[in-house]
Amino acid sequence: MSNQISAAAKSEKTFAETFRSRKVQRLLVIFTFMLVPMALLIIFTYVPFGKMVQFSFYQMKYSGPRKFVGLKNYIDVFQRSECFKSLFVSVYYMGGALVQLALALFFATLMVFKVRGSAVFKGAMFFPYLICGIAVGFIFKFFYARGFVLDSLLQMAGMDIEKIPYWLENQSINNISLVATSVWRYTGQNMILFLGAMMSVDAELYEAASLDGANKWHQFRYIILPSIKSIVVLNMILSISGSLSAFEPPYVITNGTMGTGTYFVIMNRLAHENQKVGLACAMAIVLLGIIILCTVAQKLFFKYAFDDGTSDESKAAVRRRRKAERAVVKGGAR
Amino acid sequence: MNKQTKKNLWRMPVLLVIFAVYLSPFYILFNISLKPVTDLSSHWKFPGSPTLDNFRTAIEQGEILSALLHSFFIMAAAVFLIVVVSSLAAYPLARNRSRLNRGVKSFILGIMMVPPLSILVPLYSVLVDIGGINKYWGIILTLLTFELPMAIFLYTNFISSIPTALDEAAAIDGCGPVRAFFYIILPHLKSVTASVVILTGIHCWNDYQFSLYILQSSEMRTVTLAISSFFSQTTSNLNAASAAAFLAIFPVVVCFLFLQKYFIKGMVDSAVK
Repeated sequence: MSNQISAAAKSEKTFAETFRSRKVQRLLVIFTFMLVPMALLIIFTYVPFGKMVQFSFYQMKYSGPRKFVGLKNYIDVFQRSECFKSLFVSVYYMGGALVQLALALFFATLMVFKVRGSAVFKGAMFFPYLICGIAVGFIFKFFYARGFVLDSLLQMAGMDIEKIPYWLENQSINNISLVATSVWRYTGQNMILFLGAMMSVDAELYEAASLDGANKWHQFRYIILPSIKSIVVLNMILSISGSLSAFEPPYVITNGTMGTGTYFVIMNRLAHENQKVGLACAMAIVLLGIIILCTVAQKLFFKYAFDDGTSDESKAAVRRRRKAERAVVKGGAR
Repeated sequence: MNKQTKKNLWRMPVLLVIFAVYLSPFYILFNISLKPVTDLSSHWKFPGSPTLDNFRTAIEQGEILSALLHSFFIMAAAVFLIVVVSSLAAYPLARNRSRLNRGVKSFILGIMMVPPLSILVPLYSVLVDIGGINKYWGIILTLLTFELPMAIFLYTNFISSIPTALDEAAAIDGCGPVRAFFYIILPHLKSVTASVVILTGIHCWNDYQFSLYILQSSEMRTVTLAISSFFSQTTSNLNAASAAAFLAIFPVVVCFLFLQKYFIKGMVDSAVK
């Protein structure tokens, strides 16, 4: 009898103990701390994603009856000229992204050595990144309008108004005008990133290098470039998805007319104005597929070219470190 | 020394040209917003008789002031929630090493690869289902969700750099994980929180697409919606539209002037680590 009681007390105690034990408490903390973000992410991104896949097989509007059409929407994405052609517009934005990277590198190397007032310059170049795309669009709509800001500047420089092209109407040039606005907007941000990485290089390295007879190009090639390699790679990966998903410049400035409609502008028009929800969803999925393919291809390429593109360690070193970490974890669990 | 100053000499003009190119659009915007509608002189010339009429028109017809208020409220609520939720979530993510943990991390960070615009159409239909259209909580939770991955990423990296010895010492003294977070980790998070607040704040303030779909009633307009609808209303009155644009970016200008150091640091943090 007494034995039983003590056994019951013992099991109760162990229950309380287990509840208070570090491991269980840790699990509880993990669970409660992660609950809200996981719920949000599931409701607002993963559920919509599932719905998107489902919608892409239907011919439907936001409300009202829907009809199952199988793969017809996907076939339409590739057959409708407006959808597929808009992908080629992104090539302009990719070109712009390269120009932007080069400019940002150039500006950053100008400023990495002490220059008077560099904070002011940095601030001015970074600032466009912070203002909303709508306002940027408005400013440039104005900037490019016939006989307005840019034209009057060129006229002052002695150009004939007849010879100045219509910046936003001329189909051979309007995409370049639009891309220029996004280059203007994002170059400063890229430059700040490059500068941040360059600044982390020990200044004594430059001195040591110049003592050893390295010129400016050598310094750039062997000191600056390795330190910013990972950011350049990161930016190139981002620039692909960024240029495929360009939206604000054409949406605000030309509303996607005259051959400037990027993929998202077309998608937005189909979904919002024409209410072709199924087709828009299929477009989004095709785009996501392209982005994932590009990212994977780029990652593989950089892994091949630079060992492990995003870190300074070599692949073998990373593997060794992971292995060591795993061994530590196992030891801790025991 | 002499060589050094010589080097700066050719750099200065180049930088000044870049500086001028970068600021000219803002100068034009400001210039036009001060000009009376009747003034048709070159857009580069400073107005002979500056006027504030355009600002009055923008405020009265464009309802910019109430839009600023809405934007501020949405941004403040979203940023506050982002900081709370993501710092809490980052703590276990940074401190545990298991397969599940890595899975959860990629579950969260994978979203960063998806452009938010691509998911807008089905997101709208989900929000219709749960009644979040034309509600402040709808837009706040949406912004919160799409900023979460980046904020969690920043916090996780930062907490990983805090030595675990601190936690362990606290645990030996009998401090549970919850208390360890609030007393040991939280005091260290000031600088990364500044970065998170600035980055996500800017994104929330400048958001256009989510607001366009979710806040359809005109009484709830944010600044970006207000100026874009004002632009389409007043195609003839460019001066007033410029004034509206100027008012919309003015709060950002002021914040940036005072907090430039933190803005730049936040930007670098988000990419380098």
